[in-house]
Amino acid sequence: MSAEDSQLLSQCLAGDEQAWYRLVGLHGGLVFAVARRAGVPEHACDDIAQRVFASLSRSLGKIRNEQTLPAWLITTTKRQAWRWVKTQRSAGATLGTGAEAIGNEHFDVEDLERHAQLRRALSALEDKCRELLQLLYFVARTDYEQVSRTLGMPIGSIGPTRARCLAKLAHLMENSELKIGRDTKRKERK
Amino acid sequence: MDTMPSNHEILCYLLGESTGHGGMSAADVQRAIEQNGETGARAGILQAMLGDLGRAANLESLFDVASPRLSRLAQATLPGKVGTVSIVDRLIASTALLTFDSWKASPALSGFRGNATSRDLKFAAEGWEIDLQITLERAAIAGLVSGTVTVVGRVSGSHVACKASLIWPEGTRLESEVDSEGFFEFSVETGQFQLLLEGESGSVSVPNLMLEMD
Repeated sequence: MSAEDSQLLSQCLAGDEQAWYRLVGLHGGLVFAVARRAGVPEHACDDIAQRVFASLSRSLGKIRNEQTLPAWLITTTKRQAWRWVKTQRSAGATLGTGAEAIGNEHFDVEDLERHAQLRRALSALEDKCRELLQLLYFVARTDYEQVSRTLGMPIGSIGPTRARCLAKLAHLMENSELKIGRDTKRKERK
Repeated sequence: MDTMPSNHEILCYLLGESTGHGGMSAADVQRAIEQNGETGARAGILQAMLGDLGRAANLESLFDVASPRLSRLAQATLPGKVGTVSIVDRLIASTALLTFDSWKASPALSGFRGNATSRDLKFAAEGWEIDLQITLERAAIAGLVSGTVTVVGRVSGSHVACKASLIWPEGTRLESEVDSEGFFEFSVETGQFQLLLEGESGSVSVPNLMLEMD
């Protein structure tokens, strides 16, 4: 469990509403991502996310220390998504909605969890680095010319700045107990 | 070589960038990665991070949720204030009131009397008018009388609904699309439901719709 998650959970247990808003803001994207990747249509994702966070709000004191909050959220979201899909299947014959997306369920939850970690580490970077890395990696097809125009940086300085910002990102991820090392082992097994 | 490269120097090597004045050369970084296990492991971790970043743009659309949507979600699920029914729906939906009952009896929405098999109800809320025709099919199975309820509805008014949902008290939801004429239909076992109609400009709820036999 990351220190920030642990602290937020404690604050939520103590009735701190702002901590709950922060927690939902930090992890909401992951819950929506898992639901979407499981084939839940957009209009039903709010309902799934609501059930997941409602369940979390009732389980604040029960999440084990050794279990990361993202892992708990992923598992709970997958269950809710599957239940939703099952309900749609049983209703699909008469209602004819939702069934077309069911057969496409496939997602690597580790990909989603690591992406969530990258986003969190990115959000903790200073503005200049965050903007640069967002443009280079989180927005599709952004080349150096576009980055130069958007951020007002000389093209020649983008490469070296990128390397420095990536080193800071790696440092943040190492210090927040994130899992890039475990990911390496997973990739080596493949 | 005794000096270990920094993360920045390894990243420059992996990205093909110069480390700048005073930095370790690419050849020295490569040698350190090959000869020093710890440096090699760090390079593997950084390479994995670059791989994750390379896939970030594709995954990003899955994570994209507007801030107001997350705020509403947080508001709806605040610890200590969570119920068992769809709270988001309660927050965003206005509640429709009964304006017509074909039985002209009490406005309680429960029950099918005697052998009666259908009942017409009208509801209204600001910008919404909802007509429901509820039909019961009775069946006797192993001495127990049970029933299937067909709800045919039509929504009209200034709002345009695109989805109708029946929501059970424990939160299970059955959905039906609303057609271009505003019609929707459900066929369910008798029970207690909330009917929710959702459109782009808002939603309306008929809570506590009890479809049971006397």
